[in-house]
Amino acid sequence: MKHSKKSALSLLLAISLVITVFAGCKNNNTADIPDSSSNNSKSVSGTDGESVVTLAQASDPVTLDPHRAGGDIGANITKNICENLAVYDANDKLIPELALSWEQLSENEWIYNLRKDVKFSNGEPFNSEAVVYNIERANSKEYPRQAFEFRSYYDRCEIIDEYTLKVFTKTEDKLLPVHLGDIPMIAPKHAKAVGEEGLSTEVYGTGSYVLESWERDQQIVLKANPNCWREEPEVKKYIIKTIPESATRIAELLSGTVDIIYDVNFEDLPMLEGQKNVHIESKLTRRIPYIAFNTLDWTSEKAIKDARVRQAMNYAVDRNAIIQSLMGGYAYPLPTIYREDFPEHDPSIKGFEYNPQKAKELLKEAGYENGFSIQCQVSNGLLQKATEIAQAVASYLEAVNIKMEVIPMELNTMRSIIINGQEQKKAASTFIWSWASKPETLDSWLTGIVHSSGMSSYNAIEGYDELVDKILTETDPNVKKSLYLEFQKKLVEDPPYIYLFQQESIYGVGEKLDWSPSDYQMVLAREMKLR
Amino acid sequence: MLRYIIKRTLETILVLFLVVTLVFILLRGVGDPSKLLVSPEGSYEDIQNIKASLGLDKPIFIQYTDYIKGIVTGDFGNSFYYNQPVMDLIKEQLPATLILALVSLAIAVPLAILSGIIAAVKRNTIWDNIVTTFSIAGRSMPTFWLGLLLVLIFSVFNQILPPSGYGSWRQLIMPAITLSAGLCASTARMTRASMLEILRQDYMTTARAKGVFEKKVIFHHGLRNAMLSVITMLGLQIGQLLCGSVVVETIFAWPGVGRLMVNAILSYDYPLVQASALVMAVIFALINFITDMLYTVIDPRIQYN
Repeated sequence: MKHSKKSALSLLLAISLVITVFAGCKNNNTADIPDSSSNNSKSVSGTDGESVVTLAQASDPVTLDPHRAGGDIGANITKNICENLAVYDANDKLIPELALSWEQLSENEWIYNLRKDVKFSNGEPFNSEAVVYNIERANSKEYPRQAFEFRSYYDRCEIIDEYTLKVFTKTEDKLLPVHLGDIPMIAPKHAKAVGEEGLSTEVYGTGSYVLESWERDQQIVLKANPNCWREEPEVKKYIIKTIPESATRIAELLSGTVDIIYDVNFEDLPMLEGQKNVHIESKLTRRIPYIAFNTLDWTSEKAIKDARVRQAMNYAVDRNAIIQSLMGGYAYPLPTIYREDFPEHDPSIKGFEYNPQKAKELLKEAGYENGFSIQCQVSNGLLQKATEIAQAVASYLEAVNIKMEVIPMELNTMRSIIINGQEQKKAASTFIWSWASKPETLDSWLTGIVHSSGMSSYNAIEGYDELVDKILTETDPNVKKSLYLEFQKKLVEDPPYIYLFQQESIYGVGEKLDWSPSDYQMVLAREMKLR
Repeated sequence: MLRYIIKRTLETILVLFLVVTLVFILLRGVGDPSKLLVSPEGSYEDIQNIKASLGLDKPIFIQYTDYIKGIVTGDFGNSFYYNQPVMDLIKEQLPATLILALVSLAIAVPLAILSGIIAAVKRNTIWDNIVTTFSIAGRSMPTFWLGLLLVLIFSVFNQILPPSGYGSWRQLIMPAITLSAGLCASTARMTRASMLEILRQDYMTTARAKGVFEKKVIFHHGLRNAMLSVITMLGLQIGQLLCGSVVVETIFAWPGVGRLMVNAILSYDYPLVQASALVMAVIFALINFITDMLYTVIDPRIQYN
């Protein structure tokens, strides 16, 4: 009797353990678990004869709502599903996509003509009404990642006819086509029907692909959109796998179960370079990392307030050696932060060559020949090998008697210190940061990191605020041109940063795929060809 | 017994309340999620808008009472990051974690107990040396190293198994072996140590003197007594397994709760971290309770009345 009582208790406990264990999966059954084993066969040619391409990326997108995705990994997926009024071509020129043309009618009035042969993949028509819905939605304060550039001056839209609309602005801004061109167009009726939560996992656009499935943290499957206005793509199915570990992504590429990996680590390049079935592709990005000088009043080190010291620190660093040894040659040694596509770029400005002797002379002139000590906050999450780059810079600076202590930190900790953190006073005297913007425009640089009121700006160097204000408000093209030139000269004469380089994106591509990146950090499956 | 169960339940509710409160307070101290959600190229106004839309502009006490009210009514809020109900996100990831944990346990526990017994019974023989060597190796090998080694051998050099992913049994093999290695090693060592202790006891000699078969002496008299410490350790390990293994999930792209929670912590996703912490606290509380109950089954001298 006693024995059976114990057995019953054991059974009860065993059952409760099993119930506990399965409690979390009562709404799931094994049928919901995808059998992705078919995806593990060689991916370029699918088992059912369809051409399938698989890409592996480090993390799952947060959302598929393109107005929320902003510039993160989700945008890379939604760009295959949704299209915009305008896009940049391979030469960084803005060209029409869903718009046929646009024209500025007066200071505050623009007219847009739309394509007439376009439908959303769920059958909804693409017309003026849809465009207005999308502009208004992106302009809402709910989606701050999307419309930060035009919210301040956008006024309203007016529908002229089904495929023509006018856009009114509060103040004149020549960049309206660029800013409006950045808004992905989603099917309005569907968006209204499913609401905010629904849109984060299900979205319809006019692009070459439609969403087939999304298994969170596993994979997103896109299939060719049969109703797309474009030519039918060669790749019929595009699978985006989430594989957080870079070594596993490389293993997948080498074993042929994945066709493209991107943001390849520099230290992983030798593994790929020797392989016959893989080739490396790279593309210059629009992102520029730099070491910012914190010249705000509360900064611990006063020496960096002297322009000669900041110049000396630029002369002391051999950027080409850093690019070759740490980045495998995959970066462009830009003289300052002024990109070559920015307005009135002056190629005669050469920036700082590696000249430690000159650095020492400048430091002596400034009274710092015995050097000083500073700190540098870095995060490898912000920039690959940021810590190693900072250590290399520190060793160059040590040669001119400046001691730089490198403080590595986790990305989000660093973001919360730097972004809007001027009052917290936690930023070190220098820190590695990076900035990006659309082609041909540097306004967000000026307002974000150069002007002292910028959200990530620690620049209190005299003269910059006045110059930025003039550039932003000047309307006379000739005066503006001279201001741009003045700004470029000031970046060298009175540098607010230690300049590093312009980043490149590196991709590993399988042998069966004929593809090279056409746009910065965007992988468009419609551009892929099979060998 | 019923009184004990009621007492434990009330204690657990108190613990859960403390966990929820502590996590709520600690999270607010570590950082501001609105800065992570705004585009780095955004503006001050954008940060304020995000704060308002997430309810983070309200006084902290109001945020806390809203949160507690939500828990009581079963509403754990929406993830700041994913903009979806947090419990849906956890439910979505939990099956993968449970499958991996159960298979790893199924591999590790029988193997570990059996090898622990063999090592103890055949002490100072070649068998003992083999078990000891493997358990030291299993304990010493870092999980990420073993995982990547398996990927290299079975996926890159010999394309026998898929390197990563979730869904088919072939994709489960390497993560389960990687996860079970450490568990198996420590359980085997614990079983061996406990068995050696028990084998020296007088009642074991008495049993043998009575003419009881050696197998029965070892399994009935020895193992049962040795299991008390093994079960204590296993209870803790199972709790950890059920809460997900970030390293194994990362290497093998396994969509479990470990990664979900770590990502939530890194992105200061308050509602998701709070709900995950609560779910994990509940799991640990249940496992502890079951472990305590198992003591009474294994050793009748233990009474909770």
